[in-house]
Amino acid sequence: MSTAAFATSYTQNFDTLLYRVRSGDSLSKILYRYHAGLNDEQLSLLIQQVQADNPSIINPDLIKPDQLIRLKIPQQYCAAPRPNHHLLTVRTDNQYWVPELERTWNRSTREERDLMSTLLPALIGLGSAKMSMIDTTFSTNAPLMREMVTNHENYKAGEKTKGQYDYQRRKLVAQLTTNLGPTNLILNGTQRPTEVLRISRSKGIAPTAPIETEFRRMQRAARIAKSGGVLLTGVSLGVACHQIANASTQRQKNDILVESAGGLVGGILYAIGTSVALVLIASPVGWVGGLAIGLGAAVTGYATGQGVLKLYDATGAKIDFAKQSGIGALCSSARKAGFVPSFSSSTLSVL
Amino acid sequence: MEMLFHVTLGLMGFGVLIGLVYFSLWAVLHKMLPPVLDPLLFREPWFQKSELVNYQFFPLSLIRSLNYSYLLAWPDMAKRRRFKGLDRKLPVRAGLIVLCRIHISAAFAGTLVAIFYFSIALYALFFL
Repeated sequence: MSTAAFATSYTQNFDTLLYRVRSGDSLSKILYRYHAGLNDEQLSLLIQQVQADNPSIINPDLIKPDQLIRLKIPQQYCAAPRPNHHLLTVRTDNQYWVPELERTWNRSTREERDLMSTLLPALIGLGSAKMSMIDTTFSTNAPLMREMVTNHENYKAGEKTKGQYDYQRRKLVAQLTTNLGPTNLILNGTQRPTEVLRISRSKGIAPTAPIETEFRRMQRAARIAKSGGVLLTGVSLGVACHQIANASTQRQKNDILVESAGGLVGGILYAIGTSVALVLIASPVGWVGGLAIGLGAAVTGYATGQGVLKLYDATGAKIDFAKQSGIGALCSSARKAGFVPSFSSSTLSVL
Repeated sequence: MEMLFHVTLGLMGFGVLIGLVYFSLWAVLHKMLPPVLDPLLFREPWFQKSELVNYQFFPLSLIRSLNYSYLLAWPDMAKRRRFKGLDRKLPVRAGLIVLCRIHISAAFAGTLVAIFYFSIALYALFFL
């Protein structure tokens, strides 16, 4: 681009940025950061423009840290779209699903309620595993966004050509898209990472600010998922113990304990059997496959728990497992001490 | 019927014991095997493209270490399917190979227990 064309482009297609000078900055260094591939003539023209826009700069070689400079930067990228945050926030606008769930629970038969109560800990366990998975995926991939920022800074510093920068950016976005897989839906809704991670040309905002914002959001989402996983695991244990502590007769306590233990062992053995099958068949497993295996463990656990309970009842329930193992007393004392929350049926239905 | 219930209790106890051994060893091997074997084995043709992406992260990364464990424990069997044509000697200590053998043996024993346990539980569920 000729110097005249450059001057025209500079005065017509620009955004204004208020830049705070950092230690070690020089005017030419700052300008190279925002205008890649400048020649000496263009640089000198830009310095004159900066001096014109900032009357406080008398000598361009003398700028001080924390000094504010008004800079004109090229308008070569579109502005970043508004990030899609709604999937990570609690919905307060419509609460219609709570009474609907309550109505469904009230309409359910006794058998359906029993099934729900028994499956609940397993479903919460699955939710916990899913949250841990999201936590790990987000934490592991957040650094890729940092690489995008570094890539952009290197390009602006003139260390990379436009082609090298674009290639590296495409590569990083593609890698991030592949790694995030279906979890991108949780983070960005239907927007693709390439739409969210745009370079900003809005006035007064650093070009890489949207990427930094997404990086922080991803880390926050990972922390939420981690806490959610721990919370759900606690709730899962609490629900099982709550059922034992609340049972009115010793027979009921034994039934719940036998059913829970039978289901737990069923889940463990299912996991072992499935892993052996996976190794022998050598079939690839994706996230959906992983969740299907988890769901299979929950269903198998439920069915085996019911089977063992029937067998126990058929023997006349002679052995008092709750008393002999001490679990009945442990859950009762934990409840008295406040470690096990008291759930009502409506709370369970909402959970 | 009491006899069947006692057998079930025995299977449950045995299942928990095997589960403890199996999952503890899996956790240990998951820490120890990938740093040594990933540079040699975690690539095509031993793993498919989708696996190379998915098996990088927990919990699916456990399947990658399980395959390594299987290869070290029973190399002849593992080379029949996934590791077909692998002929290089792997730089793994003898102690780790013993752990892998215990791990995979526990898996097969657990599968046998699972077959009996599920059969009894399903019989009780549908026929009692």
